[in-house]
Amino acid sequence: MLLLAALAVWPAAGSGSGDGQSADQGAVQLAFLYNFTKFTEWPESAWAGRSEFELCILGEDPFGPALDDLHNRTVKDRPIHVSRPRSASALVKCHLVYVSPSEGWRTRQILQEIARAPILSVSAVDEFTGQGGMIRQFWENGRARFEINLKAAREGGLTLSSKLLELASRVLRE
Amino acid sequence: MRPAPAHRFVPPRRTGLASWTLWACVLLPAAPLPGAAAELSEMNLEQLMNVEITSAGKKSQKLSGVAAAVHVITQEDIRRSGATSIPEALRLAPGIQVARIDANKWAISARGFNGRFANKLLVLMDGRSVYTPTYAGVYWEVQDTVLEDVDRIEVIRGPGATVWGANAVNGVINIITKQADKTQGGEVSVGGGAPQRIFGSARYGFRLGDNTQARVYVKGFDHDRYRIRDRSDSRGSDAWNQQRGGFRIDHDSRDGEVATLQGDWYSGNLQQDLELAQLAAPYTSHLHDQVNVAGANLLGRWRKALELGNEVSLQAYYDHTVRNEGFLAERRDTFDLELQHRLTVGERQDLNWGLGYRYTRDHFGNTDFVQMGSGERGFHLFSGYLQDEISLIPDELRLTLGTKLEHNDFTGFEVQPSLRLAWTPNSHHALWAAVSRAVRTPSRADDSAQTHLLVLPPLSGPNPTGFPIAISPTHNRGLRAETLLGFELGYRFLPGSSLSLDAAAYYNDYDRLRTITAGPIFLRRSGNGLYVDQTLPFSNIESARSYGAELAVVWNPMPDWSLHAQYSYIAIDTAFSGPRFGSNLELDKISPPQQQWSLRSSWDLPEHLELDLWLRYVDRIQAGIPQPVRIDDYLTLDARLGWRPHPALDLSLVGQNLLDGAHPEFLMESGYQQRTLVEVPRGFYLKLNWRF
Repeated sequence: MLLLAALAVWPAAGSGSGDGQSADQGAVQLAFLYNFTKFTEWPESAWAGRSEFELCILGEDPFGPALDDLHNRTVKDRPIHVSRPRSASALVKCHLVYVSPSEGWRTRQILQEIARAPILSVSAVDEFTGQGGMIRQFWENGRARFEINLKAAREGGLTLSSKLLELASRVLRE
Repeated sequence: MRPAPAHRFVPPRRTGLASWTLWACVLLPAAPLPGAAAELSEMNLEQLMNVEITSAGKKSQKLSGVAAAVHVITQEDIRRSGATSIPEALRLAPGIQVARIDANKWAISARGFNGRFANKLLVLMDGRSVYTPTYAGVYWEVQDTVLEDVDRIEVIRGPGATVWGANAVNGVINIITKQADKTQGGEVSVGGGAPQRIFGSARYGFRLGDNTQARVYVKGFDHDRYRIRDRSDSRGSDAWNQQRGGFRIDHDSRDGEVATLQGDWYSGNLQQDLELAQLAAPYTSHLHDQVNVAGANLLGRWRKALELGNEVSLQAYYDHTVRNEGFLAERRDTFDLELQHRLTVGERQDLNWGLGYRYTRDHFGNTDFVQMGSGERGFHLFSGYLQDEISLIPDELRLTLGTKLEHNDFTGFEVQPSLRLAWTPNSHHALWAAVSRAVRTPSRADDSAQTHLLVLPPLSGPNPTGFPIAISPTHNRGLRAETLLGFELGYRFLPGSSLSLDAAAYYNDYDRLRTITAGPIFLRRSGNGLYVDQTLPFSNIESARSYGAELAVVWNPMPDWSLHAQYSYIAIDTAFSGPRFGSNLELDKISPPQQQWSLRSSWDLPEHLELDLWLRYVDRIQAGIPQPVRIDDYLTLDARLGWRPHPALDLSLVGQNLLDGAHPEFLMESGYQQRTLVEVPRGFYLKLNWRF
């Protein structure tokens, strides 16, 4: 039981070594997602008859409890509704689609379903922008970065602000 | 040193006391908890781009809405545990009883019914069943791979037969290796110590094309003997060694099609000390046995996404195993084919169905100790399943119902339905309940084996006759499948990203369990003499009820410190509907450890050091046939000190079973007597891991 006592004392001992305080990857990714919406303009057609902002997640959800925080937030003055579409017909109702790495193997198929639709597509899947996705998230030295496929966004009728393009590590225009 | 981030995000610290208070308030509605998210989404993009991401190994907890008692052992868990084999790594899961019989054998089960021949736990490696139909159980000593290449081990306690099929009665273990694209480059591990004298593995991963990656590996070890209680037996040994190699190729078309081809080969030599009954004086034979094991397998899997929510997969494998033991020689070839299809129906339903076929052919070389009847037989298994997941309330209430229908050559058709309900009102709480039926189908040994458990010498002790009396468990062609009706309840609580709790409780009702009953007595001839043969046919006269609970808590008090606490409780009662033989057959009732708990601390220290401590307690048990032996409860400690002097180099020093010189954990149910009881000694090793 001496050992248990030693364990109990540890937090105090350990807190001195405060190197590398950091945030959970999923929570950071979600915060990025929320920020992307602030720099994106959807065409009027995307809002027709819609009172909520439809945030869709495809595949295994990496966000965890961070998602709860979206409940009392809005995008373009509309409350956020999180859904996990399971069919192509549900997918086209989204305003933003997040493609989880677990769906990486079928990315092209998903992107084909939403091509030229006013749906902001975001993913951390490799080559996501190369395949026609709009924003790819990636990590560089433990920090979050992103790149943009501007052509795909334009084809979907979305307008991305110049501020967003400035912060992007790379912008594909063609 | 890493550059200091411009903005350092500090998650709110919760004191231990506050966390315990949180647990006490589980019935209160989840208030919005102060957490990472609230502060993060207040930040603008520039600020976010300066937040440092937690290292991948320390992923924060997510709430699982799965309606089953699932525990996932991650690669990081395995690495930090110091485990050097898959069985040892399974100690990381709550409610799993892992008992080491000797240096090269384990008894592993969930929710009771443990033994070397534990037959109610189904185990798969990358989708390939390693449950042997010979005696119904797993030869754990030959289930291995490069541990660094294991992605995760999914441990499901409770019946999983609706999807996995027969013998997934008390649990399913899925050992899943990484995809080849996650193991690119080289990785070499070498280590040595005592009683593991030397071990090493080398893996190299490379690209085969734009969308195709591959890896190859070799692994080997040489393990010293443990301490055998009978000191007079100086030649007795359970030392062993094994060599293996393999490959895996993964192709990802990036267009909704993935394919995998993998294979392994192994061979090894293990020594064992057996105490076997024989008909001639001195009626028992002490065998110093040299066992040769070998095997190879090849598996192919193809998965195609037809459209969103609609995918099909096809898997085929071939498996070859050889075992030459002193009491039986065995060769087995298995071919398995499986088709699965998942599709969504409307907005509310996920439909899963599948078809399977398996053919297994065995070849036995009988000995004086065990006879398997006809030396060579083949068996067919046909199976199909249908499962529907219905969202009663989207993202909140989910009902899963389905059934498996199988046809096997021993008992014909078997139906294994289940009904599961999961309620996830928010991302902090999940509640689930399940009712399921599962069966354990007879093994080849149940059907055909003939052996003498014990031979009582003439005119001695309980034998007043002038002939030796053989006590002979006897096969039964008419044996039926053992059945389970299981009721489960589970609760998961995730107050924040740094604390999670997972609890499960169950009530299991078993019927038609296999045991031995007093059968007819014969006077038989053996060699020049006569003996009395008391046959004990296998029969389905035992029933049992068990209940218990398992609890697992993960707490990260600080980003660089995590604690894992686990507890499990089980109670079993058995009843017999016919004449059983002897009083010792209440083994199922007296053998499980009533309580098990563990506490594991993983601490990241400055200067790239890691300190891990793992304390485990296992209650007393009784084990062994014909006369169960009491095995005391034990408390033990493993410790690991890791050091990463260079990003590509890891050194670790591990001490195992540190709290005593040696302790026994189990006694095998046959072929072993008290004399051959083996104690698991204190051990240590030093390991070097280099990546390039």
